[in-house]
Amino acid sequence: MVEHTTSWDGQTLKRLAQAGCDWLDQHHTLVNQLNVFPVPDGDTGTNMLMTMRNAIKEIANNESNHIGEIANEIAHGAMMGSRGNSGTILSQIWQGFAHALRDQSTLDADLLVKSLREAADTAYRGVIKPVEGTILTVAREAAEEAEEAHESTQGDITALLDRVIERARDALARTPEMLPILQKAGVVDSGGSGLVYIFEGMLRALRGEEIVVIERAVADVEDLAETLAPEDEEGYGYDVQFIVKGANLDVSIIRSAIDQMGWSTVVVGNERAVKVHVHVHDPGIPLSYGVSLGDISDIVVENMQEQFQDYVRERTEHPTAPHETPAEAFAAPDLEADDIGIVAVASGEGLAQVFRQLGAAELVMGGQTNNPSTQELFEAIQRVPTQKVVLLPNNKNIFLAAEQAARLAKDREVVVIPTRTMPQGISALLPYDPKGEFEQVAAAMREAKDEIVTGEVTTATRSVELNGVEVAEGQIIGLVDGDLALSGDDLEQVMQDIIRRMCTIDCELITLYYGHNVQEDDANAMIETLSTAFPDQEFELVYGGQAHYYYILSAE
Amino acid sequence: MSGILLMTDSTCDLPVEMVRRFDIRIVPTYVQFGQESLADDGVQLTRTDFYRRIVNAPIHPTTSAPPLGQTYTIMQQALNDADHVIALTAPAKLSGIYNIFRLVAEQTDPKRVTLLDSGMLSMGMGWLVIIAAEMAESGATPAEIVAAITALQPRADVWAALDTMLYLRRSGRVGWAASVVGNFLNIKPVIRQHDSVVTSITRVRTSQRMFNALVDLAHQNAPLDRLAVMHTANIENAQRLLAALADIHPNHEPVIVEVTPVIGVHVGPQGLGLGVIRAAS
Repeated sequence: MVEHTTSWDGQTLKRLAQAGCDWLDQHHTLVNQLNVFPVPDGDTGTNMLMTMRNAIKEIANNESNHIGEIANEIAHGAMMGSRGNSGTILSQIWQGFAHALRDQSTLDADLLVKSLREAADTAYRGVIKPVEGTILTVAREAAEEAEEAHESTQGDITALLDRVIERARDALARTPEMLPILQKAGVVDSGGSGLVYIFEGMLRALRGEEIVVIERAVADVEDLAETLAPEDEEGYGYDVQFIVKGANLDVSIIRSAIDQMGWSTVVVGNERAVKVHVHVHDPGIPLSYGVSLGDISDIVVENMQEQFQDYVRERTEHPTAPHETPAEAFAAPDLEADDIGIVAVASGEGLAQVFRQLGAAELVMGGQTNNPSTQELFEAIQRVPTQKVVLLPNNKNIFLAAEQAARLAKDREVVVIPTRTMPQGISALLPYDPKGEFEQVAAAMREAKDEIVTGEVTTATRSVELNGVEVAEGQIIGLVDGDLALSGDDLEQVMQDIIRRMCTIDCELITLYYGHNVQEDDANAMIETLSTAFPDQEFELVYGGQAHYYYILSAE
Repeated sequence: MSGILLMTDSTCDLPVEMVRRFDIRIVPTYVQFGQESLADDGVQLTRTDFYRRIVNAPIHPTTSAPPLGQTYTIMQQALNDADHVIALTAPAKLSGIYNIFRLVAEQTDPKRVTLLDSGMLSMGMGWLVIIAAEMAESGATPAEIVAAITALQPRADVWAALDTMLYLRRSGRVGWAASVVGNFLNIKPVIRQHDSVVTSITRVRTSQRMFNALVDLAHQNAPLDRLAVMHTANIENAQRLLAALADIHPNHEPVIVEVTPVIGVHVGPQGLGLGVIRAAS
């Protein structure tokens, strides 16, 4: 039953605060999932919940009807139990709220307006540099709405709170417009959403809607967080589907909201039930949005990482056209015009990912048997958003084209670092600092390329005698730093021999990049064999995806 | 009642003997494993347990600033025990601790509390606290101490070589680290923490090169007034590193400390670092 109250006493506030805490409790995992500002560590919901719980604990046995006293105890409990940024701000909100009520035994609409204002003002003072698009904005707009709606709601506190919450939700929905990092992540502010849940819980209690607290063991909550967490930055996101049932649902509004959260959006239905399908990096976001609309059911969350891996496997078994730009999934780094940008030639998808991880802005696919053209390299340089560019050819057959491309790019400063192999290019990238001084960075990169020894293992395409090594067509051969070093008929034996050749001095780490013609299981078995044969060295296995070469190795 | 007491947060990494020697008041920060919240007071969560635990933790722990309440209690006690409290905290740019101290100072006795953003973490801040405590003991006024510490800040430096990029990337506190795509190749970042920011010096791939990078940095920055070797579950290499720096002879006895779990969450185990105050030039 809806209570149209005109006055609250201490016990009303106690009941409502409890309801706000319970409603937050039910949704705190979703709030955690939204957490990207100021630090994406996913604990905003937990911090706010712990703060609220401590506040509630403080008044658990307090039977006072004096609202000023109850509010003061809540504020004290919130302060003593506050955790994290959002918890601290929440405690300040209660502090301001309680201060406005300090000598009052009951609260009417007039006082609610004043206390919400003081709550917002105290929250703003609680941070060094207030940022809009956060819990602060939600608290401030809630206070503004209370002031605006005061007259028209004629002293009906429930009606007033209704308006306040409507505005708080609206402010929350607008947080991405105010804070670019939220826009980028496609989420609303987590602290703001926590505050909305607390308000909503209070309103639900006023309306007589029951809040069932789902008792969960800590372990279950952790499991849920695990399930909902994105795979990692290399993740390709999740396929999320659910049905939301409610009243007066607006399909077009829901569609545009869902579309903001991800891609491949399909939203269909009517005002009572809407089916949602979307691909997102964080399934918590659409799910949390769904919950805000009504009851959700038929939830499906699928990890597209696994699907992507199948896709990669298929593609590498059926190599596509040469020089194709690698998949969009390997996002380019954020660079400014006066930074240093990198163009690297990569001979396989896995190697391309490694170059991306190390900060390469543009990749050109190519290698031993399909050297990219001057034109392709020039175009890649032109695509880099920086004035200063380092070009890593990563194959000596590409040196000339690289030099020509560098000369063609007259409007930029381009340095070609003559990396002869993929591992040399990777090693050169280690000291890369996009904000550094160009000459120093180039010198450090040039030096770093020689800090590793490269090995390459492939099949001989013709019989030859070179460097004193006799090779028959079809035999397995090993190259050290680009020069033919040995041959054999057994892959495992050649691998062991080449490592012995590579590790002439102290050598701690051997990295194996396995090619697209090597199965992952076989590569793992190879690592196991080699680890036994070379117990003093550490081995790392990375998917290189290169053509022709079974393995590319580096020793350092 | 003594004159001046020093107060700081547990990211200072000061050895317990030094804390006792100068009666430094330390507010613990918190590590959270899911809903389990543990104070970084050396009791609820020991370093040994912590570094063992983060490797196997089903979910990544997070850190949080101390509660206002606890900070209030500790500051109030310090004010009861001294005429003046000088508080140094972790950088406001990297953590909410400074703001908590600020709010608490306002609610206690603002005139008797001087709050300084140290701009540094771990022993970078630890040494500043110790120097302030030494000055207080020899009778310096709060104004003199603040002036001296402010002048020392540019000479404070922390360098660290991390065994993996994973923790720094996950922590999200360091923008450039968070933006690294994927984790295809294991990289060991060598970083600098100075003047409230964390920057990248270089990246290496072997533990010997981690070690060498720190040896080089120490020599490039010698002579040193103070030197601390820091580590995360990596005591043997820390001892080896201190031995490799035997020719540097800092003006004060060097120390080896294991880094607090609150920083450990962001850097991971098997890391190695140096916290120094350069000698006056």
